[in-house]
Amino acid sequence: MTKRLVADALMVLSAIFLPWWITAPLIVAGCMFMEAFYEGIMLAAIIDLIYGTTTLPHLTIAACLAFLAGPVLRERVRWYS
Amino acid sequence: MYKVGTLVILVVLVVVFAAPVRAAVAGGVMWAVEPLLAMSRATHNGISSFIQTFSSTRTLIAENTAIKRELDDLKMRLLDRNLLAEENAQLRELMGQTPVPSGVLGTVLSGPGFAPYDTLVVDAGKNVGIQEGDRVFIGENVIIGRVSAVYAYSSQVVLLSSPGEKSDVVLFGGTSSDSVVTAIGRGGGSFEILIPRDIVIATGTPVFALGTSRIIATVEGSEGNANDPFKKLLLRTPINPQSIRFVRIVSSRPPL
Repeated sequence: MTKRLVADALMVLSAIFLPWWITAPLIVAGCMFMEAFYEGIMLAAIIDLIYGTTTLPHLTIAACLAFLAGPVLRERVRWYS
Repeated sequence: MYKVGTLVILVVLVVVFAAPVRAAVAGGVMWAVEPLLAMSRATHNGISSFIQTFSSTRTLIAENTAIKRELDDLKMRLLDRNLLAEENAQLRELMGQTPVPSGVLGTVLSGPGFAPYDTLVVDAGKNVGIQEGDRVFIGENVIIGRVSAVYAYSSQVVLLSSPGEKSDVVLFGGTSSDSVVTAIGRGGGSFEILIPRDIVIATGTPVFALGTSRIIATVEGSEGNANDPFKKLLLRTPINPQSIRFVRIVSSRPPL
């Protein structure tokens, strides 16, 4: 739980202080490594609301796809230590 | 549980991005985030000044020389421009039109490169009378975008060079007479125009917004093949959108 909270806080900070091309891979990584990473979608939606125009919210759609693909990838990818 | 959660979040997103709700939600988000964006901008400026102190002396000397050369060139051009501006003011006075400087100065809180879209977030909103559709300038004569959303203390500006954004422009100085064409944004401060292959436009030629004497971009080059009757003219804004720090927002409403 603490790990997740720290990750969430870091991601919010990265959305505010770092360029989007650092935050976006972090959201994808969050979807990959964390169970039901809803925060990632919310963060992408906030970024789209701040910077996006009335066209499609690209980042939110990408986050949704990563969210859906995350569990599948997690199951199929084999990690070696 | 996981599937129900996903469905709920998708419904929430559809509602959030639906046109009537979006403005209200975005207003709330901007109200909370604007001070943080200002803090982020200040931090970035601080960090870049700190990093600059470690630039090598040789680089600084080279930059200094280049800037001096550019300054001399600009001084020469300014002389010419001042003469023309004086003449223009005199002519306007004769015609009974006295130009009044207008607009609101806005600081850019975030821009392309930092944000995923070709938009600027500016620290001027309803509090200083900004309205949707107002034009955004750099300096006096370069138009760079329009206000697309206005919040209490900030506003969002869509750059004319945003991908797919269309602007009517006038091309002077071709081999034929002046042409009115549509410039389509390609993102990152560049545009493209489709013109007949025979028209020759020199690199560096300014391109003006239709019906005004405001510069939108300058010609950078062209591309196309010999079999095609049309060629693509590539344009670039005079200033890199990533380095914009201040803008002037001018009302699009007619003066009373």
